[in-house]
Amino acid sequence: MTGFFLHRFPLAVLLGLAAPLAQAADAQALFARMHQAGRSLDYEGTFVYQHGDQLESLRIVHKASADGVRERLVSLNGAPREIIRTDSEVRCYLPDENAVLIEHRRADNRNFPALLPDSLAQLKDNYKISVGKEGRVAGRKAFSVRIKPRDAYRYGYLLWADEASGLLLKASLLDEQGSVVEQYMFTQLSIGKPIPESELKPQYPTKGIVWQRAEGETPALSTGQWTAARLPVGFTLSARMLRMLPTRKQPVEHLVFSDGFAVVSVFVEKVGDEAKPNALSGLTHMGAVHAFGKVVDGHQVTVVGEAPALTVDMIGESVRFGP
Amino acid sequence: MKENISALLDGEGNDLERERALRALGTDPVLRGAWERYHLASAAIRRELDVMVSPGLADRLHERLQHEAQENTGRRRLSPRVLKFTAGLAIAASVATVAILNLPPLISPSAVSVARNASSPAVGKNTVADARQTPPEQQSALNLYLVQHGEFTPAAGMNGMLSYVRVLGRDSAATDNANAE
Repeated sequence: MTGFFLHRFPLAVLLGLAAPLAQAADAQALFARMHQAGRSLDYEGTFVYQHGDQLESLRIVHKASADGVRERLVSLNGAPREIIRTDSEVRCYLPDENAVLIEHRRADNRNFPALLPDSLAQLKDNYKISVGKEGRVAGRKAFSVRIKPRDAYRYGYLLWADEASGLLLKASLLDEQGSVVEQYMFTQLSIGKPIPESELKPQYPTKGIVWQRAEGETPALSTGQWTAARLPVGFTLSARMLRMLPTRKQPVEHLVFSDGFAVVSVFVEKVGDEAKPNALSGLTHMGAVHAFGKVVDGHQVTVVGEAPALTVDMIGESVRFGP
Repeated sequence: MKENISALLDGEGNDLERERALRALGTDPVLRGAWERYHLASAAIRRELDVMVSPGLADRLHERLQHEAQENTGRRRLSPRVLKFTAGLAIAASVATVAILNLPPLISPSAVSVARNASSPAVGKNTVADARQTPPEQQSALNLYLVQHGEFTPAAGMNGMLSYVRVLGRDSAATDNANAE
């Protein structure tokens, strides 16, 4: 089914014959189509991001070519920041911090939907997935997919995708009661129009700014023995690697735990000579993201994830060295 | 200027026009009314307006922002110019989202904390109520981790780009406040 959608999708769009996605009950195919649209289409638009009582307006430009995918994300209010991402690196332009952060992406480039389980069987243990109603978002016909968690260890999702292209138009992260924790929605969107190269270049001058580049080309595989002794039901270790971070002299161990939708990252770095005055201690939240920090055996452990406090706290408190 | 406001609504116009429009929203109540009406009309046309937003919301937000800003002058004095600009930004974003998304938080901020508490039924420190808002200085430090974490965030779509939104928008409110003080 997945192959069918991915293979037929461009022609179907061109001819205006795309079947209503609501008719396709194959959730895996829907996700694959949404992902493929998000990666392969050229588009630019403005969207709003809401978390708690905070609101952000952002612009995204996305271009796919033979050279790969390039994206530019720009904040339209607040601090004038932007991020430019290619297949190999992520550049964060932070003029308010007088810095540009450059991060290398993973060597094997394993990304969504590769992180999703091979079958929906695993997902269905933790989520109830249903294709919802049809509607309109940003003036476009859309269909919804509801992903409802079966327990309190993960958020639910209500996704709205463009019926014609499959592109995600609106995403809501929901708590167990169904209340919105975080929400994104396009308010203006243009798909398929040529995107000039200038649109993918940084807008703000970088002269005199501090470039913070991670040493080493790509993250290396880790055979370390840091682990999380307790994981919520359904979560497994998806990846582990050693990364060099900008501003860090020593590698940081990065563990990724996922249940197929929710992802929680654990970072472990030695508390050495490098002062980390802002190292996190305890549990905090930033919208749907919870973060947890503590020192374990002379190492700073930092956990971040789009998951409830319950989940991040459980994983963070159980991080230890050794089998 | 209304054309600039309309362009802002449509995501059109260059950066200068956008900045002018946002600044004007912070100073001109007539424009704020127009901005509100544009969004309501747009939402209504798109049939995305689930509840009625009472008229004058933009003005009330403007007053509230000014009032809160004045309360802060005990700590640091605000520049009126910066205050107006910041208020313009906040109102533009706030009214747009209230009108379009019809979200409860701005209408009733307390609804957020209630909802969040309900999201984690466990007791003790596992409840979100005990997870304090990440302080701005720690948000910057966490950006490094969030960027890397973003590679693995599949669920919310946009090919993981949404995770990076948090890096851009994470402390914009704090920055606004800092700039205004």
